[in-house]
Amino acid sequence: MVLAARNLKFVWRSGESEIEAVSGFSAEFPGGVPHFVCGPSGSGKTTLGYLLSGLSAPDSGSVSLQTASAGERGNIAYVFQFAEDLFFEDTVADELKQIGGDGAERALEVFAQLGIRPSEILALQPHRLSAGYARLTAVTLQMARDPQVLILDEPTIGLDWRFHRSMTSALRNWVSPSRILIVITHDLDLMRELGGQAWVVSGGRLAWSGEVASLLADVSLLEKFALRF
Amino acid sequence: MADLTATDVSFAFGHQPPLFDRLNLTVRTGEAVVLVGENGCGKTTLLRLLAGMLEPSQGVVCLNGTPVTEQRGRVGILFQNPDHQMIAPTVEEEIALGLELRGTPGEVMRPVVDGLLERFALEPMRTRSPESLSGGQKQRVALAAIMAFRPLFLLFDEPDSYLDAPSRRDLLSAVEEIRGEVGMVWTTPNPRRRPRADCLLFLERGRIRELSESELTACTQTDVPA
Repeated sequence: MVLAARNLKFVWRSGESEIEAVSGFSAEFPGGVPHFVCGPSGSGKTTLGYLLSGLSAPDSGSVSLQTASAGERGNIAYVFQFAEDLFFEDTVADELKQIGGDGAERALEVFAQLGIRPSEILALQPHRLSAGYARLTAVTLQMARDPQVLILDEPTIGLDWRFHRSMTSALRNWVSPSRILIVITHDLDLMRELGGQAWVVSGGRLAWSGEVASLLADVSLLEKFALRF
Repeated sequence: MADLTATDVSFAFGHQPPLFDRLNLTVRTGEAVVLVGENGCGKTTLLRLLAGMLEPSQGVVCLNGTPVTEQRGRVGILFQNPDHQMIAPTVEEEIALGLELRGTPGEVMRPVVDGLLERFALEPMRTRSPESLSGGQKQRVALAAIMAFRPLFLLFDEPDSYLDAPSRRDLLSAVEEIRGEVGMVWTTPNPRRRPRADCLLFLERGRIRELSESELTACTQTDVPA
């Protein structure tokens, strides 16, 4: 299974101003290893996430999911940078019901992996969750949909030391050859823990790609792309 | 010297168990307080109480002895999600909005807005829509818009969460610049990511404890991610 992006271009338009957020981005994201999209603030990472997930249509170029068997319908799940944007229902329990099938059971399994007891979360209003719990809940809901492609925009922001560890572990467990994980992040600890493939975006373009370990070992590269200071 | 004081503050959402039970806290202008706590412990709620956005169920939050709810605009709060505090079509209008709503004359407002655009490295995006900015850039716009009010206290709700490394460094140096002007409370779930603090506090089970650096490291374990 491969998610392929071909020569993506996307322009933000506001009145007379135009910003080319993504310019000629091409990449192939196979399953089996985690993928990390990183780069400076404003480099187009989130816009790229929208394009890869199909939430936004590119001005030109294409995104295609090549599944294992012909005719199989791919499904892509996305967690926004601001996780609360995903919530619609009055309680977390109601959010789980919306997944359908055995999604609610799967969500409880993910909550357990993350170290969250159902009794502490299901009755709560999603919009009143703390930022950390909102992020954990949003990731749980999307994992429970059992997608083939999971795209997470900054899944570890605001997590405390315990939940950072459990999120890392849950993501490690989720990856498989039949699933594609793409994480937009500037969390080098998460990248170091999970390894995989790094895609560095700068000015809307693919500026560097290679193994996470190679990126993390290259201090000048990290500084060049504002990944550390 | 102004002080922002929470006295015997208790608070609960609806019928949920109380988040705080007779909590006390004082912050003075010129002082930087860093408040560390696990996810869901009530850091954001405490900041909203200090800003007068929520009323305690018991106790009171006062600014110089008067309830803070009666003195809007003197305590600024920077949310985790900057989208929650932006409505103007361009960056410069966003920064000017609060002053405009107060009827500030244009000739007074313009140099203030120009100065803030410069101070927070926003000049190149002056006419852009805040919507088109990255999370980190939005956070800088939100901070500049708050500073236009010349607040006495600034409450930072994990404000560096969405910033890349250089933007975080810029924010921390901006915090250093304004350190003497305002009293600050900076919340974080991650003790390694914070500005220089005059006082380190740990919020746990509705109570606040002041901790030394080594005590904080011990109680947050710490192989904490940076």
